[in-house]
Amino acid sequence: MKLPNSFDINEWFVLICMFIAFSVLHLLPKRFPLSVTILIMLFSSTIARFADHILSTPRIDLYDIMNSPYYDLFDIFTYVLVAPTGYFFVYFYDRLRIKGYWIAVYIVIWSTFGTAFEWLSSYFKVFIYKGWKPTYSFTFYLFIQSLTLLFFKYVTFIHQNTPKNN
Amino acid sequence: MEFVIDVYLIFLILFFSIKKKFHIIVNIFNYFVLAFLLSSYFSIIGVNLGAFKIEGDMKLEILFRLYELIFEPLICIGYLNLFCSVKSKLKKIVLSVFVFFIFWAAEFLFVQLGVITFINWNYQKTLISLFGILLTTYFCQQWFRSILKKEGIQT
Repeated sequence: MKLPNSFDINEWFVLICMFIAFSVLHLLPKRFPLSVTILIMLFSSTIARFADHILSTPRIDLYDIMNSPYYDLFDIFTYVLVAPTGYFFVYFYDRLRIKGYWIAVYIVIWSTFGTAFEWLSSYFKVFIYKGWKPTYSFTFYLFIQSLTLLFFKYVTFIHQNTPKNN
Repeated sequence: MEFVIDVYLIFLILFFSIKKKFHIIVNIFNYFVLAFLLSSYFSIIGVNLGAFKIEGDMKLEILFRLYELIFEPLICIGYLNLFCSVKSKLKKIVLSVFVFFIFWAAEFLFVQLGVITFINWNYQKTLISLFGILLTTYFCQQWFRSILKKEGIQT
């Protein structure tokens, strides 16, 4: 695993965001079983990893993450950062008991937030776009966040309907 | 190319029709861990180390991407389920040899099709890396199962 060539503003940005995200995660009241929380976070990180693996490979190369086209330690930190974001998305969906057409509104709001956060990340050179545009991210988030909600519904359904020992 | 798609589809039918040893939540967890580890592994050896190059027809590259992100993790999940369900040591060894033969055969096929070109890499290194990934996944799985057990779910 490569280490970053230099410790710049992008590394600081990722570390500060991670600190804030995990602090908020720690402060929020526990809402789901630990296994469901792990699955939601793992799902979010893996989807981000899938997208980067496909879209930033040398032949497609739509963007770079951090300073280089290489896969370095701070690339992994960006996936660690995505994990609590996915959790917050599901947490507030469940906490606010969003139903009906408000689900669409909720997804659009979070997609806008996601795109804005990605734009901010690109300002701090976490993403270096080579052909990718923030508008593509918005479309991507609309799809992925819908998928995240479906996944959350499925996992909680399975979890609740499995016979428990205690 | 059609042959590879047929093999993929037969494998999918086989995978979803076989009864799994572990609870579905454990298998979902395993899939995400494996997909993350395998895609990281391919990035490290392909991009960081430059140990192999992906080139040739784009359609074949799509087949390779499907293999690394979907089929290889599913083979590993099937293997972990079967490995933990068979009792005798001999069966475990035969199963392991068979699965590692599949990994070798799949990579050999992609090399022959011209999708992968080894630069500073060989099949032994692939198999050793996959063994490491499987071992890591196994330990993660055991940890996750212990969490489910505490929640009262029998895995």
